[in-house]
Amino acid sequence: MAVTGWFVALVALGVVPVVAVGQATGSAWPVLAAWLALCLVLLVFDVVLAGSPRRLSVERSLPDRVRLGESVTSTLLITNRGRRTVRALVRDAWQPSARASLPRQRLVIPPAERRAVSQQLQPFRRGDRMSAQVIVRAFGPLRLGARQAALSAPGRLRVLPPFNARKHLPSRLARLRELDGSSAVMVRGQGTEFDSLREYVRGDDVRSIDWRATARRQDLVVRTWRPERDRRVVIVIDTGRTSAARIDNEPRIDTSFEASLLLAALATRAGDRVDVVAFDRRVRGRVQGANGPTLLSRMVDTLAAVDPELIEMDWDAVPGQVRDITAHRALVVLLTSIDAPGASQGLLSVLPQLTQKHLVVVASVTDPDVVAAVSQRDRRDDVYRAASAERSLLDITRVSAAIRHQGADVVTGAPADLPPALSDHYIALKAAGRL
Amino acid sequence: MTVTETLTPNVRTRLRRSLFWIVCTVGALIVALIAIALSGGNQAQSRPLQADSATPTGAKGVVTVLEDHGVSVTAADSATDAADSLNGDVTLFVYDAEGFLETSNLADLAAQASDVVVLTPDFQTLRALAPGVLAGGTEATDADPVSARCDIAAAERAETAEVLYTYRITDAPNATGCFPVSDGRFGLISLPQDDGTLTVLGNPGALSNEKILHGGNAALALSLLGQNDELVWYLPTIADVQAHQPPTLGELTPPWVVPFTTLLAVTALAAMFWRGRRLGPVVVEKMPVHVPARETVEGRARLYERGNAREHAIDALRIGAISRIARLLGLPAGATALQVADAAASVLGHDVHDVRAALVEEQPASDQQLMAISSAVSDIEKRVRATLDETGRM
Repeated sequence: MAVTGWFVALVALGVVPVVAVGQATGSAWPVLAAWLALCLVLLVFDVVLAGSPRRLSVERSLPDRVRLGESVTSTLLITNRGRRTVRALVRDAWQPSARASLPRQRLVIPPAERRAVSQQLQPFRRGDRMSAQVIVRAFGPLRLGARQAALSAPGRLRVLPPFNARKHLPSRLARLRELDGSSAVMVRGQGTEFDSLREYVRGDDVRSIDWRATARRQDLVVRTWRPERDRRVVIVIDTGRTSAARIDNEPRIDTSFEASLLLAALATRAGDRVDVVAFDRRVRGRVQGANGPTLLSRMVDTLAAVDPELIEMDWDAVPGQVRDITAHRALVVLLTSIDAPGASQGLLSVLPQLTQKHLVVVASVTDPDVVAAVSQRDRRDDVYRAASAERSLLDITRVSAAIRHQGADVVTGAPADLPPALSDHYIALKAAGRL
Repeated sequence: MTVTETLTPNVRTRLRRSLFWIVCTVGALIVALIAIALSGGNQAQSRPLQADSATPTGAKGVVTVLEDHGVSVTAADSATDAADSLNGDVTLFVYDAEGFLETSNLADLAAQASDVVVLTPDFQTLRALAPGVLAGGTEATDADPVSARCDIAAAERAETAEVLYTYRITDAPNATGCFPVSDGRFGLISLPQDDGTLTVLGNPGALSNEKILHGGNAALALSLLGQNDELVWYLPTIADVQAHQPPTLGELTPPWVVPFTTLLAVTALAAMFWRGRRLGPVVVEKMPVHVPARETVEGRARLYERGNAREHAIDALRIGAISRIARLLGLPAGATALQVADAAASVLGHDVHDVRAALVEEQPASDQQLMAISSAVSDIEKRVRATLDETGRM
């Protein structure tokens, strides 16, 4: 039940008879009572004659997934199964961060007919965006009153991480192909696998000429090498409290997702097996055993719903998590944050267990604002801020040195730079045959 | 396909769900109504010295005893009621506690009655009824009873009485004062009128149910009020005032003003319902946590600043600059700060002492010095950077 502005206007219109008759006869109370009774009767009449919103059936058609920043069309098909025409104001109750373009729409549905209500959704937050119900307000023929009901029509739209770092993928894939034996560029080093023999072309490294084959073929023949394949890459994403920090208008966890997606895309093309686990004190998401194109889709699907938790990361459990994924030597990428020595104690204490068996890379976002604050020294409080920023950079340097001392690599970068930097480090490791 | 499930409960379900509260409300209303009907109504209207009130402040005791002795008592609420009952030999008792009564009205009534008993009259009433009598102030509520000391029969019979308000006789030669307190102030004054007496009594408590039995109160009351066979017990009410007021606001405004404002109020209510009715429930959403990362840096900066930790601050700045300069100059990781300063001085061609002072030795004693040293440090770093090209060579 609801009333409209017309009903309010109708009640207000009673001023005319109340004043006119009151002035003429000296008694306005009966007129007032009669007018209010008239309004009430008209309202009841209108509400009773309104088409019932309870006699509608709602169908939803909506894509399952959308990448953050893109928009989708959500359509509601509403069928009138009642006997009266429904003049409805329809609201699809999407969560605010789904950013529905037209949350309220008017439509008229004659009996036994169906109408579609479409709107654009452009979600601005990652994760599952829900709409539990559709609310219909059906107006009466006089537009004075309305009947209102909420209809159950659950809808879910999974908003995937944007993967903006995919723009770096083509250049890194080209670098990867250069590593491969198919390219004219040769890479030497321990651990690279022998691929094939081919004719020498100018520019090839003379050290890779295979003299025995040259003798057989009467032509210069070089050996080609290709990087190892079928290595394991385990990406551990820290979803603990430090990942909630917003750096350069992007939470640390989102940068971690971007970096892990780019690395996974690259590594799966290079023929390595990638497993991902998002962890703080328990596993928030895990992608295991996926390969090729399914890997990325499963990754974005799993990571979409992972948000930072305000609890401390349990580093002691990380070696166990890695052991669960693979028993062999692997490249373990820890996407976490490196700040004060005190806060990084947990990480430092478990690193030896990991580095003993695996190749470990610790990747962390640095704050470009802090770096900029160091050279900003115009005013008194700027100097203190510069000192404080310098102190935190020194802390990061100390922790990084400690991590390197434990035998792990460190990759740092601003939010926009970390994903390509991590991929470059992976390519460098592959080229050096360290995987 | 069937009709979609509706989440809004229909009227019947809603009624059934709220049945408990409806029953509770109705029950509470019934109990309240019964309670009001049984007792509350009477008590609420009880006034001091009301003729039919059995409360401690009422006067049912005196009235009942008078009726038992054959005096017919008529209670009057307004001047017209009182005037209607004043036929023949009638005693008029007037107690105007709230000052409702107009003095001219009272004078008219007093003229019609044979005997008049006025309880605690105010200044204006005294001027109208007994011009020679003036108010004389109050006595303490716990003062001892005073003896009569006059030849008024009622007072003699009472012998003693408690006195609260007192009156003085200034210009009334035939007035008699009883229960004298001191220097010509009396608790009771009797003035002979044309065909009876006017008695001014100064203690309202003397007639109440609570105190009627104290001392000579009962004898005084019965003698004063039982002079004639009929007694009019007149307690003025608000009804006595209105007749003489200027026209009220309601009488001056046009007849449609109040209905008009009522209609406006109803319109406002309807508008509130119109705007306030939500189109379905509020949608809730769990928000992720986001922490601005610079807060720790900012917080530490403010801590340095508030604690005047200039040495900590300059240390941090120097260590950062020295390690960067060492890296630029290709010095080994173990190089001391002084070695780096010397190397920087030689690269820049500056005085070694100046560079050492800026990079190591000088301690800031004030914020001004801190800023000077800090800019000197960053200046040295910038110059070293500018001196070397990208490859790190000079």
